[in-house]
Amino acid sequence: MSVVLRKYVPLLILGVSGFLVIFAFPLNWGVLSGVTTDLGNWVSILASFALGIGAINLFIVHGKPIMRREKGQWIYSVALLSTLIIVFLVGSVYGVKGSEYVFLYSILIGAGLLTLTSLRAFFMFTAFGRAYKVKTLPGILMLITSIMVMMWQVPLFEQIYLPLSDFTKWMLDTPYVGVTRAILMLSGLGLVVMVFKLISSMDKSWMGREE
Amino acid sequence: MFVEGRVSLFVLMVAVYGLAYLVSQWSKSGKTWNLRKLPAVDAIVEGIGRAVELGKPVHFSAGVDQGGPGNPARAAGYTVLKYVATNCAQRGARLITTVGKADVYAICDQIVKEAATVSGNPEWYKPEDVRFLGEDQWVYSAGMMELLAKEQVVTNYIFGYHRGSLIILLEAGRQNNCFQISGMAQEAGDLCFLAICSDYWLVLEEMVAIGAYLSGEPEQLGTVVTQDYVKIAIILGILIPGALLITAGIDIFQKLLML
Repeated sequence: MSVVLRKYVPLLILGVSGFLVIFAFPLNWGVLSGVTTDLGNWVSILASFALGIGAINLFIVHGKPIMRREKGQWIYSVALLSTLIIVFLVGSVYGVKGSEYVFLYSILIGAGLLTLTSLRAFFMFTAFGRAYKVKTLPGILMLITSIMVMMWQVPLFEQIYLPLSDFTKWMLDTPYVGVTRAILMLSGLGLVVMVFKLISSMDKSWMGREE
Repeated sequence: MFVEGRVSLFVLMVAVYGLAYLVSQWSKSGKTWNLRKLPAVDAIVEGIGRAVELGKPVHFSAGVDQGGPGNPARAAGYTVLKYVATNCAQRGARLITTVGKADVYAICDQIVKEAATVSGNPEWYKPEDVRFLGEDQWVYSAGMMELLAKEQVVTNYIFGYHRGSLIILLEAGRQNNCFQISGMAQEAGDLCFLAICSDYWLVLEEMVAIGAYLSGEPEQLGTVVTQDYVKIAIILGILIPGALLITAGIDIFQKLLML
């Protein structure tokens, strides 16, 4: 592949698309809005093709343990690849809204996803358990504040001790909102600068090798 | 012709771009800047050293989903991946990269492959060490938990765009006694978990700055300085006068920002 195709064409596409989307942002002009909508659709189409590459990677990664009969792994790889093929075939034949596909999704995927989501609660407990091993003054303050805020979420404590609820309400409405807004502003500014670096071709790390 | 509420944002955005361009050119012409040291950057190399000593792999998470503003956040992660992959290839540490988005997989695979070539160690690249774990964040987290335990990963880098499953990824690393460095560029309620579960972390603007920091290019360093200039300008030009004026009952800033 020539350097022009490999380096300059992707940079040109990114730069032109980026500037178009930015200039369309404040304008309510039919032509430009149509172009940006088309660009968004192209991204979705390309992402769909990329899914195929992802599936190939799954076959590469899980095909080897199956061929080698790797102990403790091959059976899981068989389960993964056969599930992938079955879900793909059912989805292709009956459509994603077909009752067969919906049944497969709820039984196989939905239940598994719910289990994983519930794991989040346990991991949050262990993480906070570590965070509350206080050794410094800010740590102690954070512990006291978070215990008070947590207690306020329980209606019983709210009824028993009113000043506590006033304090926690103030904590959530004033310092918390202030800090959250500061984080949002910093995040927004960072993203604006990042976009500038990308569309002006200053940051080319996404292309792999720099010529 | 104009969409209400977007014009002021657009003007501010163009002003930031203009300033970023000017400062970058200034930087390119020889102006040097003193940047605050980021301990996490030194720790990245330390983590790879640990993996080399113990003969165990390094894991890099390039994130899940693209979720709107996550795109630039992911791009910030690519810079770190390039740095980590190049260092691993040079020192012979095994790097396992996992991805939760198919289009990101293609980019990460290319970055790792090129890092091997640039480092003069093309045999180091193995296609099966860049893995697509699944598009869903929970599926991805399950795959990563299994990988950390099975491959006995000693150093875990979590970058890119992450959502609610971030805590699972971080805690899984912590419970496997991994040396962890994490970074997120998007705003999220889970940011506090980076501090709780990681040895070193980079958040928000630090993630944007790390690209410039690692590249060492004067142009990119100029964008880091731009961010500081803009922050000072916003505080002095909008926040303080805006707060004073609105307290005095004058809502000119509010009206201007609503344009």
